[in-house]
Amino acid sequence: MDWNLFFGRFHPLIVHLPIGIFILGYGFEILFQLGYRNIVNSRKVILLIYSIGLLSGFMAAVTGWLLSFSNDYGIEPLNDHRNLGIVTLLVMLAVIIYQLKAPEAKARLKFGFSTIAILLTALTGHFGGTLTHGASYLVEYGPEFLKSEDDLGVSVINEMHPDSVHIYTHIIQPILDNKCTTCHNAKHNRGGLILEGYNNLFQESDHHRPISAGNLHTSELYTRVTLPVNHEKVMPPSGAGLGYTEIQILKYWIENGADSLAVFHTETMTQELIALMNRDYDLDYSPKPYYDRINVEKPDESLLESLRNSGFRVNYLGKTNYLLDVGFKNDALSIENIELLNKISDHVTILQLMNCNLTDDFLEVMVPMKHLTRIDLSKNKQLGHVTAFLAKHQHLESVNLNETSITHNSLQNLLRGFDDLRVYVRKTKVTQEEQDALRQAFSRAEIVSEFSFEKVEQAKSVFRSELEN
Amino acid sequence: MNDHHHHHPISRKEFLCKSTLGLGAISLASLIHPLSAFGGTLNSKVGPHFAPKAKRIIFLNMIGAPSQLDLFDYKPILTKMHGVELPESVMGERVTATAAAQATKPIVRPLYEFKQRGQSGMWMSDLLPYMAQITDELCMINSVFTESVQHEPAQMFTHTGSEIPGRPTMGAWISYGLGSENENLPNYIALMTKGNEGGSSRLLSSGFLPAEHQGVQLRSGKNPVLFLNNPPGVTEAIRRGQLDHLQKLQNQNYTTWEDESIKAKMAQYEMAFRMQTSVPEVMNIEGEPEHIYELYGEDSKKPGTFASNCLLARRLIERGVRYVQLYHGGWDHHSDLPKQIPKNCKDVDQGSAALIMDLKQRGLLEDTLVIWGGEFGRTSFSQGQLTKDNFGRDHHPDAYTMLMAGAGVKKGLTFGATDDFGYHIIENKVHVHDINATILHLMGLDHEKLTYKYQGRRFRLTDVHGKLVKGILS
Repeated sequence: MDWNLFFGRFHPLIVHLPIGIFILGYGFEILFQLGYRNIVNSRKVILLIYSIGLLSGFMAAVTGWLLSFSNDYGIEPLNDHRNLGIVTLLVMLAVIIYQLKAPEAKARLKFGFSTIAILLTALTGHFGGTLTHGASYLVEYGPEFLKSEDDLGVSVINEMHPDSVHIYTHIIQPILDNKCTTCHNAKHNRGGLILEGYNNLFQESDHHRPISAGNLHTSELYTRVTLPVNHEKVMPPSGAGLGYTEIQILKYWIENGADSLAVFHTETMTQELIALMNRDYDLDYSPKPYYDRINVEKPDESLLESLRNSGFRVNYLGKTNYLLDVGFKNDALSIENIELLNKISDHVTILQLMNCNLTDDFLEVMVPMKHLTRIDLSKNKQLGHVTAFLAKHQHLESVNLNETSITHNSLQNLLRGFDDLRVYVRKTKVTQEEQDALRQAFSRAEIVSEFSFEKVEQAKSVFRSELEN
Repeated sequence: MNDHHHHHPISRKEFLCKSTLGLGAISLASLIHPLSAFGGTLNSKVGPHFAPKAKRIIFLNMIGAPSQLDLFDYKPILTKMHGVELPESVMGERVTATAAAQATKPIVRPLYEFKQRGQSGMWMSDLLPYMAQITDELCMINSVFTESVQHEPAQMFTHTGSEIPGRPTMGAWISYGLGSENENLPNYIALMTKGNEGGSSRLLSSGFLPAEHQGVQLRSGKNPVLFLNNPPGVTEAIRRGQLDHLQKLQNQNYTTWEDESIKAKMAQYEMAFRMQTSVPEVMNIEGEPEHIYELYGEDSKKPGTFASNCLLARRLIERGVRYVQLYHGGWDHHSDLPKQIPKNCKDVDQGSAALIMDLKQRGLLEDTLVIWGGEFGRTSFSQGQLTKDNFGRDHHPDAYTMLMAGAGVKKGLTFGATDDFGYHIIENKVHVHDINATILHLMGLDHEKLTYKYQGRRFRLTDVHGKLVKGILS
């Protein structure tokens, strides 16, 4: 039982009484001032109303005082509201005394004095509302011009490159500023806790350390924000708590060392976090393809030129990505061509050697290409023993062996060497049954072959069938 | 084009610019590589800016705007409320003039049953029984919206990012950005469906980009390009000699006028010469085996059908053509939708699905992007009277569906969502500019960097808009 809080929580209930009563009295005073004496024929009525208002105001102040012990509110705005409330009551008291003691004073002066009291009442009420509902409550659904820049919540991080987003600076601290620092700032450190500035996050508070790098269970901040909403120790105590994505980000950041310059790394992120970042922050951390992850030096231009002159199509992957996409354009490859190709083997990531009389002998001369991800060897009818050669390429993702002489055994051996290879084996010696068996055995591999549709029966329009019924 | 610009060989501004920087650059270029200094622009390219996912594109463009509510975007509430007046509250602020003029707006259920298909569980109507079999290859975007409610401007917008004709089309931008991989064929080719053409040559325009990036329409049947063959009595050698002489004259012209369009024109002549052999070869589908015809369907043997064009599209892609555009018209079903849409679906369903799977089985889908869709969507209420066996649907630009398949997009994904009436988008809005930005991205081009300076300012396909649709990227 907490009597303070029990009575304190009547404050929001009672507080509307003095506001209403003061305004009522002020309305009467306006009528009196304008000369409607048949409605308000004496100042005494006005004074009576103001006095009743003052009485209820006193009750509101007492309950408010009790409520302020609850720790639920930010100290600075709470002080503003409390002090202003007391001033308002004092001014109202002065208004009553003034009107009683100085009946001969100018009516205008009296009216002006009351006006000040009413304005103070309105201001106190506004501060009180801000305290319980937050600053943007009133205008949240209003037209844009009413909102301040902070209210708009303009977030620029979705415009940033995902690799430049610092988890602490761009996400964690703004969350803390938004949800925590009203109470936990350098001036008013509730619970001995300051959540402004990176270093303070690691300072021992009255309870525990808010963040301990690498350990969720000893990070009090994480514990508090993940408690059930009706738990007595949940943070923040009022208003919306942290969102699911925000909690996941906090978790990721703490688990990965809580460094002030930490950034997201695709390898350490869960699938879920990647999806959440994409959904809520429009930041893409999905795994990059191999060829975007590595850097190679620019190759010798004259080599590329001689390749082009001997029938190759040679392209850089991008403006600053010097890996090569190479294809042979003519219909007969020679050993000289292969030797030329060998000179740039470290740069080739995509290689297309289709329909160019490539045979097993050629492959023996070819130097392994360490960054090869995709190779197209299709329509080389005499090509059969490709496994030994292809197995040397650990980053290989896709092999096109359509219309070659590859057999079931070679294909099986090839698949054994890779985790999730994509192979095309249309029009080869590998039969349909063998393919199905391999699909069973290597479920992560994708074996693509001749496609045919299932027989289609023309469906009927629901309109027509309704008619028939 | 009535451009008198070339009467003034060089403007004051251009002179100042060229005499200081330009000449230096030209002399440097000719020192490094003497031949390339005066080459056509088809072989020079500005991109790719970064590693591309796709090298080639096939756009299956359904002209007239197919009804997304009868084909892709399944809304069970339309069936429940069939015949009931569409609630005012659903419609919102933007109402087309025709819809506003309509006294009643009865809701219409989808014409055919919808089912979930494949492992992805993607919804698709029974109207497309072949596409329904390949949903696990497709990426369905149900939340596309556009600006115009009229066909021509909306088509122009889809292709050029502007409702007003005159800007380069997407195919031209891509050709300009990436250059050609086959010097014997145009880089950007369009095929129309015979008897149901749709589209127009304006949708193939290169706008202010050099003319060789313009889309070339190939006709169906024996004469894919009119007047391409030599007249009787003219041999290849004679033609070659003729062109060589013309080249010399035009080079003189170029030194006098310095007009880029002279070079473009010569490049086109040379291209036409090479096309005399390359086009008949690629357009001759008689060598295709029987099971391929079976895959594409009966129609594929008849030149000019959509199915046959799909087969041709694959052959063009195999030969390195960057951008192939297929048109199929007649989707503008303001009335008679129950009679008309099944016919259209039958025309395009098997061919579209077969094309995607044929590309896949050949390994071509690894670096080819296929796009399927129209210029906007159609309303969930009937236009005109809803009778027992007839209704129509009006234009609806606020929400419609486009499909993508192939390089760089997620498979089996249904992206974005509309409200219960398929009227407004409630999740993942995708503007046409966003679609275009994403297509360029897949081709390794940054839509903000792919610019061309014309009339004093730099233009882009996406104007000053466009955001990558990251959610569909694989």
